[in-house]
Amino acid sequence: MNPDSRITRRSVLRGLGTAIVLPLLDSLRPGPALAREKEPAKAPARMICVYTPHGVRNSRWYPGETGFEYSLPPTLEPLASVRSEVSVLTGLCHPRMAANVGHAAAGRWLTGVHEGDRILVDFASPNQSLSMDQLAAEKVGGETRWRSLQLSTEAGAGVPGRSKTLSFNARGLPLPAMNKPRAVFNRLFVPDTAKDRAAERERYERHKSLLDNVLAESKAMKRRLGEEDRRRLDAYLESLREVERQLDRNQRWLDRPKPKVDAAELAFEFQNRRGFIEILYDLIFLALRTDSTRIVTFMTGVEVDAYKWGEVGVNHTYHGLQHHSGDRSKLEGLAKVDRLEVGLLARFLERLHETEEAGTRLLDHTMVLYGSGMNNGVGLEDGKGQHSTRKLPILLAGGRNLGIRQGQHLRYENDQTPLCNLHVTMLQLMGLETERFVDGTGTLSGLV
Amino acid sequence: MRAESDVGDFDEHVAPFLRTHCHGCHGETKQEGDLDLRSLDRDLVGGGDQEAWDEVIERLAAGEMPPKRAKRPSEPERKRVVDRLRRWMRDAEDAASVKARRLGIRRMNRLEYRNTLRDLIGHPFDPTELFSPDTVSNGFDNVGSALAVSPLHVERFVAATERLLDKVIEIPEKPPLRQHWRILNSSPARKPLLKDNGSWHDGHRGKKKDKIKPGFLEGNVQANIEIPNGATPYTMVDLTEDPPKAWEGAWDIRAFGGSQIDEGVEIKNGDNAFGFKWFAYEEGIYRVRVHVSSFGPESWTGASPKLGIALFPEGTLWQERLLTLGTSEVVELELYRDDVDWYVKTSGNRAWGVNLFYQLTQERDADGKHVPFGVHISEIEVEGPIHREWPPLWHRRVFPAREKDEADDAYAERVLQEFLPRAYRRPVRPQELSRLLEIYRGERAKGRSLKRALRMPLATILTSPSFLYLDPDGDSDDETRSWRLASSLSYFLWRSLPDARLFELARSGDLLRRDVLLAEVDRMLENPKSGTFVERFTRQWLGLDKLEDLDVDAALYPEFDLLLRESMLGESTQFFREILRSDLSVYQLLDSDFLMLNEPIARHYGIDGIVGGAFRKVPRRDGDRRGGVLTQAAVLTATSNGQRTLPIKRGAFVLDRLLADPPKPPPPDVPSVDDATTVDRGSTLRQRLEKHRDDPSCRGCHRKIDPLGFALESYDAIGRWRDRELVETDAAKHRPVPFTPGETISIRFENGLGEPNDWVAILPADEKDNRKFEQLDMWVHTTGTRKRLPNGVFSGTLELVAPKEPGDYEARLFFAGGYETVAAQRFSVAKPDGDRSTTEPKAPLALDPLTPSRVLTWAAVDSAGELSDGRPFANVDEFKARLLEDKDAFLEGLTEKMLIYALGRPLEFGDRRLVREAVSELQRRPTLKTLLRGIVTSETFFQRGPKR
Repeated sequence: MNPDSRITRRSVLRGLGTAIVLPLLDSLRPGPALAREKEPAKAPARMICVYTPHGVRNSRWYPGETGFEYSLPPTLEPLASVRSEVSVLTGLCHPRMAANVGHAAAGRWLTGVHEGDRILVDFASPNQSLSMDQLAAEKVGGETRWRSLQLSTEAGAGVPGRSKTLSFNARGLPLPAMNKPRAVFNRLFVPDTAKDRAAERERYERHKSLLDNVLAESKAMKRRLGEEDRRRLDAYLESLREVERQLDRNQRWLDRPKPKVDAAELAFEFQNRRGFIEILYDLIFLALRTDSTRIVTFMTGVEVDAYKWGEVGVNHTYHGLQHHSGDRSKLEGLAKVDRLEVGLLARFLERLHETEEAGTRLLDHTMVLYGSGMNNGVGLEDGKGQHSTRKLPILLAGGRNLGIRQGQHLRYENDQTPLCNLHVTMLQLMGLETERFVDGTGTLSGLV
Repeated sequence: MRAESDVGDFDEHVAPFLRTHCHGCHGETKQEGDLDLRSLDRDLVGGGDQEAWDEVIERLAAGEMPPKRAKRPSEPERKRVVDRLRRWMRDAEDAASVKARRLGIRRMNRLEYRNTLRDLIGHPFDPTELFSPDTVSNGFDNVGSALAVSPLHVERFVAATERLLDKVIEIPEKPPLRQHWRILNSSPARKPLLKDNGSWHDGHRGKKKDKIKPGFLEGNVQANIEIPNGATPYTMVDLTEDPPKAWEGAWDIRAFGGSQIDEGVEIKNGDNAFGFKWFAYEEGIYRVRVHVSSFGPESWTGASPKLGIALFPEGTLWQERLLTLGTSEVVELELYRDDVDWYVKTSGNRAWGVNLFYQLTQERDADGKHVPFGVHISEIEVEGPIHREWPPLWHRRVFPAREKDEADDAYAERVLQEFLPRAYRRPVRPQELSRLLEIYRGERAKGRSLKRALRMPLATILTSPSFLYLDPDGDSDDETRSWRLASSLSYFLWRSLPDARLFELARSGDLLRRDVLLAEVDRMLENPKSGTFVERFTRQWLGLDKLEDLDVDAALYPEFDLLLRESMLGESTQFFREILRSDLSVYQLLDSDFLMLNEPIARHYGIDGIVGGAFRKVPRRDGDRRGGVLTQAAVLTATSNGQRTLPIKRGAFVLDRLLADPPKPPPPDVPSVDDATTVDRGSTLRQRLEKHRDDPSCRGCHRKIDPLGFALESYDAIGRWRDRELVETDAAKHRPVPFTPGETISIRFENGLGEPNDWVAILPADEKDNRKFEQLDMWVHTTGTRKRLPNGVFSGTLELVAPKEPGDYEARLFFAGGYETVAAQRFSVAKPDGDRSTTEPKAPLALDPLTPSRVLTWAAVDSAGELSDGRPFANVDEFKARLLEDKDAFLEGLTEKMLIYALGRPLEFGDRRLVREAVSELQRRPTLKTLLRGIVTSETFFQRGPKR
């Protein structure tokens, strides 16, 4: 059966947009007007990073031609309806990473962390640096109720080398992912209990009075200082006040009700992986639509995934498919799974494209990164089930209004263009002033 | 006053001289060298042209100006003017020194913050884990103007305070469960892993006996679990579940890897690692002891074997330790494990672990035979969390024992009264204490208990600027002066707050007495905390922090491992420590009659007879080619780029770090050597740089910088002695010496893909069919020899044996299991022939798909040269002798660097007098202690200035 034909819930999904009771975006901004909010409402930039584990079947994924006129290869055919909003990026890699980091690839996809020679392969830990999405969250996370959202087929953080999450904080600690659709919904849309709110309020108040006390102490100190020292201390006073303002902003979320969303249409009880991915895309859509968060990472499977894709008649585990050793039936199965996943992505992109926000399409200011941290072939060939960190399968959708030239196939040669250059590009489009990210040293050419 | 009268002097005697002899070229009509003398600010104290005047005086004094072609003044006249100008400058320096005394407040840097909390409270948790590194300015990371503060810093300070107080304030009544496990193989009969209650156990909770995978260490686990009365087993909660899922845990230890033998486990070179994990919930210090003995041939004289230690879940190689062959030893580690890390890092499975790797760089004996080496592990012990006392130190440091019948409020007041002056490092004003007590009372009014109510005032103290900022200037009344002196002293020598004795001397005011102060300096240097001073000063003065993240090309320098890097840093710090501790002459820093060596460093230098990882003082022998910081591996490596030497950087290093004469940065738009001279075949790096220097825009500075670097060309990029270097040459011009049959051929491949199936093969030069190589059996996988370079490509060095049959051959590189030649190089094999054969190892063959015509050959290193003033040197020893002729420049340089470190600010014009005085003290008695004493008793360090 053609996997695409089984996408049956599309009409239901369309309906969801109207199921949201509260009006969106502008009314959701907390609290009294701050200077920032006096500006005319502008559609905010958003970033979704979706991971598919252990690579794709190469020979069905990569287009032959480059440029805008390329023809869609079999796996990417489901993107036909949104092809002008998607670009295929071929040849990106982690040039400083070992050619093979095994299944540590997932944890390194957004961190770009490369091991140096001091890490021992069997202990290789991705837990070493901030991931790109969290860097973006440092910039825009304060604007929304949730700084970011981590979703995965498996809950928690995983262990080094087998990450269940794509996101890592500044200490290099993994941010545990959620995998229960109901729990995600509850977090986003169900009011907190009075007890939880009280605990949270108490924490805010404690920090606030701490800052007040310290401000008083600082002012007392300042009175005793000379001119130059006062200027130096002013930097501290100003920083205290800024942290206090941020605290105020966060605190206001407590008093604002969460957006109301009708859950009746949501299929929380899923039958298989396809159903799981569908409901999570639904929830991501709702999270964006209600501006509950602007940063989402989502693993549609973890590395060494043991799921058997019965949906497309596959009898091997996902991981087993990846170790295809060139076996035709496994490669066929892998291509089917790839195509089904791309189909689900396409539906998600269509919805973002059909949805208006602040006078433009939601997709036009939402970047959706899709792909894997592993190439399971050799170069662009099918190979034998390698675990290469070169020539990664990557798509980037949306973000037209942010300046992305969509609808093309770009190829980067020589295994020298870091995936992190794409990260730099996306970070800049999220408003960060940065020229570097790990081994990324600039933006990706041809994209913006 | 004097400075003013001297301006009168200037107008009367100097100005006419300048008008007559200088303004012609440096005045209205011409401004040669961009200098218009009329525009230089004559106000030396407040103006900004002191350095330009320095230059004027120097040129005049040296007789370089006015130039020969100009009308020159008479000698006595020139000398008179130079004298006047010098006096004018010196008077200005003295006048400015009064104004320069202020140091300014500055926030503690990361190290100081961590040390201060350690000495104030003493919890093993590192509150600065989240902090980003501090900006380095003028070579040091404690320069106040560079220590920025942003909202992020405030957030991190608040978060660190909160986490610390979480751990300090509320502690359970009894210490947490202490676990003690031993795994030992005392019994020859293998017993399965047993817990003390006798249940099966392999680390997989709940698994049945028959489900245990084979291959786990079998043996006898003795678990000795101390369970205080009333303690309950912990509960684990998975917060990502909704609702959170909780289950009861169990205590566990598990070992894996290695090869099992009757009496324990062995790991050998090439074996998998041996590791063990323990599963524990409680935060705290865990002590790990591993009983190991290292075995190998008795006659072994090669390098001692290493034990690599990695921690789980961090994963990086954490330490390397040398083992002594044939002896049993206990490797002991003390690890602090945090509860937050426990949850997040291990994803809730609460496993901590240690992995051990056996490493030996050399595993063949003199005849090329493999010899059996390995480590036998007979016992593992894990114990923790360890609390030596209860309540723990960090609780008692904040909450002293309560007196009998002491009322809550009185106790709270006493807590703050005792804590506050230590935290603020000064006497406390009554209103400060009353403000904090008010906060406490407010918290009490909300119904909080005594200790919880004290949390807010304590958090306020630890985030207030009086705690976070060092304020060395302060008020000028005597009482605070002695406190501030105590604080300045302890942050200088310890990078932390004063200890009890210093506080006592501050309180009594005795510290202001010179004899007491000097005695304190000696006492503080004896304290282990002064290790911070030795390490931080040495490493920042010599720029050695760079070694931490220098990408050393592992293909070129496979011997550069963690242990060697640590040993390099160790050598330089131990060397400085020895000069300080034994009060040796500071000129030893330039060239010493002793070396500080451990085994890795000694081997690196080709010095025999030093075994083990500990450093020891060894007299320098003739021919050691070492002595002084310049020829230390750490300095030589930090001034390379990890692939090749950087003579210009080395030259600039000498000028900046040793001679107080930092070169000016190169003008913009000047091409670097690599761009300016494209691959210039057959020339050494030195020859290429000399070409670069021919460019007139470069010559001025490089004439001065480069020779100093060339003098060190006898040391390679990781500081090994060399008398020749590999250079590239053209295949066309190259007349290679044939290999003899059976000779080892070293092959260097570059720009590899890093695929698992890359290989290099030797084939007859006329063989077209690459598939033949399999029959010929002269090939090798690049796997295991290839290393990733900083630019992301793979390269490496491997060895093949020259074919038996004379003839012409090619070494060919294939990628990814293919049979297509991507790079090849010809060579010939010939029977030994008396004249042409040589015992010298031949240069490696280069295989590089990007530059196929590249051929490598040896060229002699030339380290002779002359200083910019013409003094020649033939080699590095003579070079050091020349540097020792510039004693004053060296003393001035050392003094300046030490002052920046001591004062936490860059030096100003007004500090010149201080430098001058310190240098003249040093000339009388050239030791580091002289310098330290001079600094701490100086008016700049020890405020006597007017009230501000």
